[in-house]
Amino acid sequence: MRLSGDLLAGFVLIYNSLVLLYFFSINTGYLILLGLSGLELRYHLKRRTVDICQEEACELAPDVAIVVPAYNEKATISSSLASLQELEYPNLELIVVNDGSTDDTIKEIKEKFKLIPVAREPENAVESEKVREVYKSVSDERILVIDKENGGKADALNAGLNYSRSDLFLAIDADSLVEKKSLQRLIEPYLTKDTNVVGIGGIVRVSNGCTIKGSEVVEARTPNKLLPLIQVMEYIRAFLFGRTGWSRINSLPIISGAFGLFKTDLVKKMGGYRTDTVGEDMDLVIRLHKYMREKGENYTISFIPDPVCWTQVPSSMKVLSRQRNRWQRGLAEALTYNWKMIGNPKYGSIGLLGLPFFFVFELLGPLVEVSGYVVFIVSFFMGWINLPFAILFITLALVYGILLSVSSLLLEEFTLKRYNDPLDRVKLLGMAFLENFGYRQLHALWRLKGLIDYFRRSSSWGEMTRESMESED
Amino acid sequence: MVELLQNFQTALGSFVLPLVVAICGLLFFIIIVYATGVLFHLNMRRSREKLKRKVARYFKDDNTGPIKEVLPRTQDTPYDRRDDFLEVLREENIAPEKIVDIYQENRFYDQDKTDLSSRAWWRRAQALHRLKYVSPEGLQGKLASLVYDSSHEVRLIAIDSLSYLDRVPGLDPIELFESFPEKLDPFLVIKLLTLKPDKSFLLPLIDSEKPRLRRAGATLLGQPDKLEFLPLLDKLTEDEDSQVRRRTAESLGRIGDLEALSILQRTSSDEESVVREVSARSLGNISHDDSIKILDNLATDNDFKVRLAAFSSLARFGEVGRKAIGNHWGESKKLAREAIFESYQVSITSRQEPGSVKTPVRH
Repeated sequence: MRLSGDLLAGFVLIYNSLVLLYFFSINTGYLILLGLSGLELRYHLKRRTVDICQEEACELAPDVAIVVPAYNEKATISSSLASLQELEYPNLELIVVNDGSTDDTIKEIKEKFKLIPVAREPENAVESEKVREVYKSVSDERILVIDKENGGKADALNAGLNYSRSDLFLAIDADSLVEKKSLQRLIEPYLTKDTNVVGIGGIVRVSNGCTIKGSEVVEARTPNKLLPLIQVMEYIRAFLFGRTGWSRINSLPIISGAFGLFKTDLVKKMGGYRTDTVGEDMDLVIRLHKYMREKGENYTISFIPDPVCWTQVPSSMKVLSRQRNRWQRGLAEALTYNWKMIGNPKYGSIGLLGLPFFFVFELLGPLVEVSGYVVFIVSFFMGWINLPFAILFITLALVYGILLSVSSLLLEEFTLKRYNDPLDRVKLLGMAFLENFGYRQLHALWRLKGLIDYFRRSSSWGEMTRESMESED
Repeated sequence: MVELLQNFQTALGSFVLPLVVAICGLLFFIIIVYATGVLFHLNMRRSREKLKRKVARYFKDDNTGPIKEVLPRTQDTPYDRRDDFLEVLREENIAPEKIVDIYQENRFYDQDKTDLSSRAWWRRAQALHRLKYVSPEGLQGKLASLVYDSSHEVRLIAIDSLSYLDRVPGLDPIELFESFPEKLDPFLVIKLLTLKPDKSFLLPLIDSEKPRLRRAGATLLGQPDKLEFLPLLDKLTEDEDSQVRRRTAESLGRIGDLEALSILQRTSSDEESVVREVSARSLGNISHDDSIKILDNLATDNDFKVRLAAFSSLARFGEVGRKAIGNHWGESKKLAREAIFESYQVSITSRQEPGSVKTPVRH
């Protein structure tokens, strides 16, 4: 009995050491990322944007196809499409792909945008499910609607790619609102960087709580409900210091599927999106890195913190847990499909830094965190824990978490400043503290479940509930 | 083992404690900075609102009051207030002439001139950005020289300011392009260059080794009634870059003269379908029997988009064109229907009768 107790204590001792090592590594990593993000944001702030919508120059802008996959998006598709029509960009193709919706999504678009069936032959560069009919809008000739059998988001994007004839394509979610000048800003690295820019991501922000009129966010406000409010904080942290930092060293492993611009021919050459994963956005970016590195080409995958796409976030625990579960499975799938790149010097900074970081800290993070809670509880009841140390360590973990969140807010305050109302800033500051008590632990559990589901080979997307975008006046 | 574990934890505790204290201190400092930022921003917003109300009151009187009344108070920091002031004026849609008056009525102007000599690029850039409202003759030389500034941003703004002023000094385009060795800013450079009344500067562009410059040249050569550019466009139809050939076909359509027809006939048999497609659309701008013959051929092209473009152009020739479409009606009703629909769409958006006048070339 005593022997097994000693064994368990020995295990806890080793475990403690490993967790501490893990803790310091992850936080050092985040601090470095924070520094890199600060540098990158400073660079973007000092740059002056180029307005490409100018007379003759306008015609030289590359053609961009915006591909919007829609599955049961009746509530949001019209406002989303209307916001795309308002984009200040000269050469646009708007391709909506109805992915076999079971609600009236297609009927909604047909009525609002006066669609008529047209003959349009696809390029069939990438595989996708059968297309039932192709429509064109009478009211806006840029709009093309593809009605196809259900095959998932990636399949819908592939179908859109087949019908696109543009140099670049922008993949966005049907529940997103894109700001008018966003595309102009997003395309800037493609026009001005010396290297071959193959992918560009923009920032995604939370639209819940914002004042939306028609298809435009007229005032950025934070939501009043707790859950969406915490997610505002999360999005700021993830985009401002996560992706901006990785972009600085050209190791960005993910561009959000809700707002990402890519070179069409290159993605077609790579076979389009992978359809057997729920993390098709991350997988595509990793494969882009792989393709370009293997070809030995000088390339860039950029993240621009300025162009904004507004998206609705879940306001119920159930939907949010499904979403985070899916994200974790997507991460696991993207990393396992491209496991040969992890730690491989052949793939440069993405192979040696980006992917190992995501594998160790993002993928295994919830496992370490949740098991840490379990070990702590067991040790506490067994009397193995040194209470002052435990309190100190928990305080350290909490304060570190708060520090990172508040630092992201500071970056936001001194750079982009999207939330003008002081009350919103106070609310966000409150969330930086509050999210560490309860939400963070719950989030770790959802992600752990996602990891377990990945091993159980669950491929469910999870139902998302949508609300109309227009805010109540 | 339990004892070892507890000793380990105690030892670590002595290391963690100062770390906790340090991080708490850092967190406290960041929160103070954040709160200061919020308060500062709030204060700025209030003062901007106040200024806005003041300006609104002033402009109610048909802009006739003394400008000095609404200018920022002297004790305000000129640097900050200037930004606010111009921002408010822009929101109120004030005429640039009025802004010039306002500008020259106060000390902002002199300060901007001083800033142009600053070593900090962002000060030069900001000064330049403001001075585009002023357009003093003496500053043009300075602006022109700043086009070659060491800073990328200053170059961009200098070009922008010059084009905003609608004044283009004797800049040599090749020298201009060559002066951007690390980064070419095609849009702004072209914006600037198109303001030149004499378009002969375009000629060297088409001999450039860089496809992007040749594409720019191909587009800029397409100016209505500029027949002297036709031989140059003719040369560009042989270009190795398909985008150059595509833009050449577009430009030929924009020139829209009968003399462009023979060149378009050649581009309409280009190996790249996109060039044939644009040629077909451009042919829709030249109302002539030969255009119809070429379009008739293109209506049987292998590529769907080329056929569609040919139908669209034919539909623009009124009865004659529709008759030509009728010959192909049996082959693809759906296609012809879409072509006619497209043609009507163009006519609706340009508020013109289909088949009667030139319509903008779509691409």
